[in-house]
Parts: sequence; C-alpha cells; structure tokens
Amino acid sequence: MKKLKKTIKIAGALIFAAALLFPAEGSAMGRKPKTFPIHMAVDFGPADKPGYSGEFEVEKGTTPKEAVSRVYPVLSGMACCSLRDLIEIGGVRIDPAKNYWWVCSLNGSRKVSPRKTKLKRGDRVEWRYIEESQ
Amino acid sequence: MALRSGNLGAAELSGRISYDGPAVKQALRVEEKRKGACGASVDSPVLIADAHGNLKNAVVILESRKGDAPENSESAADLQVAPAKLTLDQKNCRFDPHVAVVTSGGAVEISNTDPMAHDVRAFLGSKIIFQFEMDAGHPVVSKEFNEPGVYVLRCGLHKWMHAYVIAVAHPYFAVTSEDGSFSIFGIPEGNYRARVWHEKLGEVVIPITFVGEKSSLDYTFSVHNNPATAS
Repeated sequence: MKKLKKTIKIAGALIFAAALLFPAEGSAMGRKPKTFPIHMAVDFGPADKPGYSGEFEVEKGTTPKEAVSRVYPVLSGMACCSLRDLIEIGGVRIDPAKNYWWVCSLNGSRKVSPRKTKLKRGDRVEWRYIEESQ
Repeated sequence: MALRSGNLGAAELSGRISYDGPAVKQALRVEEKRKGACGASVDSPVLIADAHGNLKNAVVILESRKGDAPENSESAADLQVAPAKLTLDQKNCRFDPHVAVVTSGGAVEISNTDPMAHDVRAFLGSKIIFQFEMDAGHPVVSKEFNEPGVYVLRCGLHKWMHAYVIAVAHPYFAVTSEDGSFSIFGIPEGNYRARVWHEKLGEVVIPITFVGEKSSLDYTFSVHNNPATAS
C-alpha cells in the first residue's frame, strides 16, 4: 500500500512537470498573448539624431507611450499635468526654454492620450520632437 | 529693476547693453482657434532692440570674481531687504513683463487681465515647478521662487506665450529697459564681475573695476557671435 501511494505521488509529479513543460494548446498556460502589428515612427527633429520608422508587434492594451519604450529608453516626469508624462525619448529631453516637446500623434491625429489610448491593429504612431510656438 | 540695499554698500554700476544686429520685429502667427481673442499675430518679445541697437530685457547680475554672490555681501534676508514682490500679468496673450528678476524666496504675483483663460506653467530646466489654470478675472496667484535659477513660464493654451523669471540669491541685479540702460545700487566694496544674460543672444561674464564708487558697463552682443539672429 505504501509502495502504491508512493508510485501515485511520483506519477502525479511527473504529469505536473510535463504539463508545465509542454502545455496543451488552448490551455491557460499554452495561450500566447494576442499581438498585432503597429507602425512606429520617431522623429528627433533638431536634436540631430537618426529617427526610427518600422513595424512591430504589440500586445493588446499597449499604449503609445509603452510602444515607443520598446524602441528607445524613455523617461517619465511632469511635463504638463502628470508624473507619467513623457519627458525624454532616446536621451532627448524636452526643452521648455526653447519650447521643444515630445508630441504624439495616432493615425495623423494629435487627439490621443499617450498614456491611456489603447492601440489597435495597423495603428500608426508617431512621436516628434518639435517646437510648439504656434 | 535694481534694488537698493540701503545698508552695506555705496557703489553703483550702470551702463547700457546693446546689439549690433539688425533691428528685429517679428510677428508670431496665432493659431486659428485662438485668433478671436488674441488677434491674428502677436509681436515676439524674444529680441527687442531699437534702431540704435539698444537691447531691452537683458539681465545684468553681479558676481564675485569667483562666480558666487558679491564679496562682503549678505543674502537678501540678512540685509533685511524684503524680497522684491513682482507682478506678472497675462495681457493681450503675452506675459508682462517678459523678463523679470527676483531675489530667491521672493514672491511673484501672477494675474490674468485677459478676457480668456490661461494655463500657467513654470519650469526650471526640464522640471515643472508649478501649473495652474486661470480663468478671466481669476484672483491673483502668488508663487515663490525659492531656488536660484532661470525659470521659464509658459501658457499651455497659447504656445507662443512665455516669460522668464530669474531668481538670484542677492539683490544686485537689473533688467535693461527699452533704451538698453540699467543701474545697480548699494553694491558693497569688492571685486566683481557682471554676468550679462539674454534669452536669445546668450550669456557673457565681464570683469568690473570700480573707480571710486562708480563703475560703468557698456556691452554689445555681436551678430557675428550669433549668426542665428542675423536674418
């Protein structure tokens, strides 16, 4: 009896390990996160640094701010209204004295919240370092 | 505006700051949705020089030869000079004055006499110090500038609107007027240099020598050192 119990325990452990290593398709562990392609462009403007233009996959729920952080290191801070504003991309920081800011547009429109808008398949995100004098 | 210490020093520094480039008058285009309230364009306050080259809104700050506060001086608090209280108004979609200097710890009273709202933001470097909205007729808001440095104030709604508030740890400074002239009074005895600053033309440091109790400083920013301003 003791031998049987031990055998059952070992078998159970082996099955569990196999499930971890080889999850069945459709199972919670086997499900890959949903991703879709977006296009990202980053223009450093007068900062004289080569920009970026390319397509890559992002997960559902990704925001424009999260997406650009996949391409360049970013720094958050209070540029306007929240500590989560984006003040630096790729080492290029906003310059309030010269009125240079990082501006985000989505599919050509600036009506986007970089921190809250959730991207969709095929979205075109653009980050530009520009002078906002007008 | 120069402050009189009324206490330690009797020396005076005065002079004129000028610019040898072409007289500049630049009109900034106002975005369409703001035109009704602000007009079609706003004169740029960035580089104001008259036909004689006299430069407005340059700042002259006295420093010891080592680059810190004037020798033998005390802080504005120790001199019992009340930090200057400055009024910064928002009028005709511009900040007035465009450049101001206060002793650090001094208060700036910000008002809005325009018929529309403004969104006031103050930066020190890339760091925002404060931000608040002011509707038309909003009560005056008083803000202290405690840390010495060059603060940029901007309106979040009217992108061209900006001003500079420079906070200095002592009261020996001046802002040039329309004719480029300035005066600094009550300077304690010592060896100095003057830091001359302009938002567009840059900054220079010039040794000062007092003869008796007076010294004069005339300096010309040259277009040759500032090719970006030549157009």
